[in-house]
Amino acid sequence: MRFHPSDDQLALRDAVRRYLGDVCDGGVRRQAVEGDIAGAAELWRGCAELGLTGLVVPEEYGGLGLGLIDLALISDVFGYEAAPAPFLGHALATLAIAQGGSPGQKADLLPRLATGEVTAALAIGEGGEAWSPHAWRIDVEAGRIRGAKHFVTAATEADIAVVGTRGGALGVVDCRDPGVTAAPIRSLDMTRPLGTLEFDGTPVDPLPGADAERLFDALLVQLAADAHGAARRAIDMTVAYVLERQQFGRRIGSFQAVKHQLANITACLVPAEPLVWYAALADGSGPADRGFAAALAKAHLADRAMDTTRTCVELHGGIGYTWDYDLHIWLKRAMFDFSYANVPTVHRARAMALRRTARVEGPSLTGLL
Amino acid sequence: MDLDLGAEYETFQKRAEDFARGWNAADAGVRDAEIAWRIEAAEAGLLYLDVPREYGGAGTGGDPLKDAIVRLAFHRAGAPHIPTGVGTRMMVPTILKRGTEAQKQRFVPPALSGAEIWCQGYSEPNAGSDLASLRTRAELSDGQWVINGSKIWTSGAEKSDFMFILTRTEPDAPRHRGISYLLLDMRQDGITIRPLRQMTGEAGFNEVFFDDARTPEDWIVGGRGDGWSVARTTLGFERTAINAPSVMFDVLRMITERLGTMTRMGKPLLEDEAVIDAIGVAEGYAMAHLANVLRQVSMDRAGQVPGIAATCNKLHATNVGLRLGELAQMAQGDAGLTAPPEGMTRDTMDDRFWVMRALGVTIAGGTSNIQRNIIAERGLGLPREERG
Repeated sequence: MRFHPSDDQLALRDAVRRYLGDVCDGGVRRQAVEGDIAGAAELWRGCAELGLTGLVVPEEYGGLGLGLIDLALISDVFGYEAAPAPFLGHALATLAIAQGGSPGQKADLLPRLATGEVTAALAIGEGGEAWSPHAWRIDVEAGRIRGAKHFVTAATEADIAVVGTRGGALGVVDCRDPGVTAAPIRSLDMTRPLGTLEFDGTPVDPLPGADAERLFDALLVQLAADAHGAARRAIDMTVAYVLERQQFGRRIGSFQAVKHQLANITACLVPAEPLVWYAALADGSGPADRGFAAALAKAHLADRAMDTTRTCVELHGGIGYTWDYDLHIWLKRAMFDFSYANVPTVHRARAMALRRTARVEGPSLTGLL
Repeated sequence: MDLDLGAEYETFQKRAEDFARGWNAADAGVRDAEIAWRIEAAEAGLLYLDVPREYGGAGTGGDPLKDAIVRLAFHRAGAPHIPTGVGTRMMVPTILKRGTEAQKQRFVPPALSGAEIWCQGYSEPNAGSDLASLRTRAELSDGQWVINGSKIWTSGAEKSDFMFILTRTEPDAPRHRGISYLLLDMRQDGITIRPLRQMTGEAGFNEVFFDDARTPEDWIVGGRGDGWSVARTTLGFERTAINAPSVMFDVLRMITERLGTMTRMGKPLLEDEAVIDAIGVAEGYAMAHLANVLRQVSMDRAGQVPGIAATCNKLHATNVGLRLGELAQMAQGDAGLTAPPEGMTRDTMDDRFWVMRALGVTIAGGTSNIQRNIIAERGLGLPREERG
């Protein structure tokens, strides 16, 4: 039993944080927010060199062969750095192929996904809050699909997309196919711009072993991890600011009102971090335990990240409400994590519906939890 | 990371469960049976792992994961675990660290078994959060400390055999250096206990008055004036909140079960979206708390300091309690207009009781505002409060 990161995990996390931090703080994050994505493309190539594009690709296909918990630790860093990169969708789409692809699909796609030669998007949302596998309505007819997927990560830059279809099936689409139209949407979180993919009789290559529920739960865990990272960054920025900012002849961080607001959000956020780890480890449990943990983690972390980033804006005063100060980047990161793949109340309702069966089938230590 | 116990701990878990099955349910609440049970459990290597055998422990070395396994096994079997209260939680670790050999031999074994019950003499009417301003004084006279003054919010004073008490022994020293940590027999004429009635109707805590109460000269832990540093040996809640999770889930289960039996205007309460969401919110906090405890257990075992993860324990546990209080209130309806039945305690609690009980946690053992100062100052590195 070990329920805190290993030295190897911390070393990888720190290396990723150093790289993303240097590049993002060096201006690439701000450029992306202003709509200039040249630096972001360079950042993504750097991520590929670090192996982050192949984090969950098995070693035999040229990846790092890491698991969902490692992915969550890295998603946390992407949130912390608000890195403008198609990491989330690429990681999940890659996971879908690694878990559900045929030997031929894996051999064809995984090595190129691992090197970053191919960037993948995750196309699941259909609008009107239709996010989860049972809500997917796009039919596969004679190996082709028609219709639209909304809120697709990196829709305009991706080479392939993993698309959810009716009955909780998943398939791979070539985004360069003439039957695919990609259009950007005005996105709130400019570090993760979204788009719409329209399919007009587009060929789809079904993933025969796909488990869409499991993939959806994995997505929830990564959103929770990203939300934690974003919120943690907002706290760190705010602590630095209140130690600097002087009013009434003293640092505002010496006022108890300010300290207590920071303590409140810290006391809620810090204990929530291992809930993400727990949900990542529950990937190895039965579907009820896994779904319960993932849904609860996504709901809880999204709420905590919103409480945290909102309070941090308030603590900054006017400067925190400006476009030019960076804090709103993390507020919007949290807002993305809140709404993407549905809002917390929806996930809590699912978690509560699963609650009776969950924990019965969990790992032996779930009883201690 | 993994959540598998592994062979060694699975064997230990089986041993703990086998042992727990030996508890006779008919003995529940029978004091002598519970005392004997704890002594046996310690000898069997299941309780007090970090306490040496000569003082009534198992002497096998501390292992927080084994502690968690035993706590769960005993909890499931309804068997007595470590006595609740400040004796095992605060007095024993303090004495083991700072006490004399004679004090260890005299006081530790009966506190561990529950044969002797302890209470804490810290707060005074004018020394609450600002504990170092305490004024109860002790003076040496004929080889005895003579104590005068009063303490307040003393939980369990009426059933306690002993008190560990902070007293002012060096009135001319700076206030933190004028305090001594004494041990005191509660069964003497110089002590008067007056119960304070809580808003729940319970008489859980007391005022305690000292009128020439006496204790032997060598019942001092540490030296004269060392009391503040001795008391800080055991930083109250940081570790002990680790005991809370099973209670949290018991209460959550109890409230949810009650909600499951209720209807409101013909509709089952558990089909109400607001109720479902409120349960989910409480469960989210409770699961986070559990995960955070497990992280601390894991880090402890690896010899790492949990740091801010532990600093947040008390305030976070309080947050869970408040969410449970809100849920309990949802479960009430019209019943929320009537008083809880006479003689209700935490063991027979109902929902009305929990709405109020959850508030007690925001105050007991270091108020939430003091916890916020600690998190901000020690956890986040913000400037310390100015002291008068």
